[in-house]
Amino acid sequence: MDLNQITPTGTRCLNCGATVSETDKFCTKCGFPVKGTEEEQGAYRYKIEHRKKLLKDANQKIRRARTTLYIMAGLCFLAGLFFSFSDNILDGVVYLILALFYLIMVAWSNRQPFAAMPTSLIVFITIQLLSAIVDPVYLFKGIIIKVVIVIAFVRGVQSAKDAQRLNEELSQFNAKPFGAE
Amino acid sequence: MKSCRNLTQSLLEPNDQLLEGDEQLAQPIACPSCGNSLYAGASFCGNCGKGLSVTESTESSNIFQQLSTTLIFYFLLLALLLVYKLSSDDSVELLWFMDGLVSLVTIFFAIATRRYFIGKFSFHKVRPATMALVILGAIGAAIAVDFVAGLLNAGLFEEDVYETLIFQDTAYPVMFAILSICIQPAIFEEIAFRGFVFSNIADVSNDRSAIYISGFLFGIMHLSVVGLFWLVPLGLAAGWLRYRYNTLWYGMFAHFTYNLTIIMLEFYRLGQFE
Repeated sequence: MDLNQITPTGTRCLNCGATVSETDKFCTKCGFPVKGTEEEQGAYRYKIEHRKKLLKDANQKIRRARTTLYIMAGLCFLAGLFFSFSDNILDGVVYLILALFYLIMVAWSNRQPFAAMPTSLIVFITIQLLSAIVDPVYLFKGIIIKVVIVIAFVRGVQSAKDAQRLNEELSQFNAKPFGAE
Repeated sequence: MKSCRNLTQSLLEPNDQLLEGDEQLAQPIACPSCGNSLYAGASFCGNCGKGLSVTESTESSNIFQQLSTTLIFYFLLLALLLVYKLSSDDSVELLWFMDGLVSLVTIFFAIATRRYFIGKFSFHKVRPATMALVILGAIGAAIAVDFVAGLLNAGLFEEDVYETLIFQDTAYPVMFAILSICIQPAIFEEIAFRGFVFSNIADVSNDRSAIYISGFLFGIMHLSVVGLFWLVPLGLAAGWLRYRYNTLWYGMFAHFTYNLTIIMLEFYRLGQFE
């Protein structure tokens, strides 16, 4: 038997329920200060609650970005139908493809927000630049809405990264990931 | 000879060896913070409470700053491509100038991020059987895409699109087409998208995100909406090869073979070989 394989015997951790050796001051599973003062234990709990709150905020921003994606998909779909019925088949197909793309991004952002959000942001900016080349005036059409969309995506990217980090940290503390969708 | 290669190998990529090896070996048995001996599988030190696997960071780091390599490269490349598309000049000289410029930009980024390329060009990771499979896969994909793209172009644009027409008036159309369409992209697009873009995203997030984002960027960068249907899957496949085998060689050879097959089919249709 390896020396390191000895399982600790002793009390149970109040935070995660793992067995804690009597010589240990901290739980080796979740880092809870089992022998700490009430203040230290409170600080530990606050650390977790604080992260849960941050994670909730981040998830809310991701949801907002996802709603933006839904709206984009809807608008592109309507534009696609409009162009298809007004005999501009090529533009119609392009818009329908874009609608499909944004819908894929919606589904994907549920599973992997950090991959879906930067991709959506970059695709959106690229399309705007491409359109501006064909017709420079296009860039300024609905500029306020475009800025709002970009801000929603930028926040989505940052929040997706934050959520990823917070989930990792919370799982390390053996606390249930909060607000995970 | 073999031992000599192994020695260079171990000198060149100490990080790789550590990552590929058993992670238990890399973990210290004593706490790095207080020196207390640790239980196997412990996530925290029992003596000082220090977290052992994930580093705790209190403030959220700026993701756009961390991704700056990828973002600056992508938008710089996009700007170059847009300027090229804007200019109504479709002379072969301008194409070569743009190819050269894109190559230089890529080399500049590759040098600036050279730590990402440690061990990525070593031949010892390349297995001939895998390489043969990758090349066969690239030929198969090229034939399939050529067929589908032909149908789509005929249906949507009512005309055939020829990539190689620009080289028809040059002295050696086939040679220049191979140089410009097969060799240049196979080297520089791979160094960019499977090189520093992939590694940059993997650094910030994880390998899965790196495969997806680099694949999508690769597809979008070609500026063809219809083309996304095959360019994104191809980018994802190349990203997976990079992730699975940790080398750039498979991606480069697959890219070269794919593009070569596409233009050979085109030359065949144009009657170049008759």
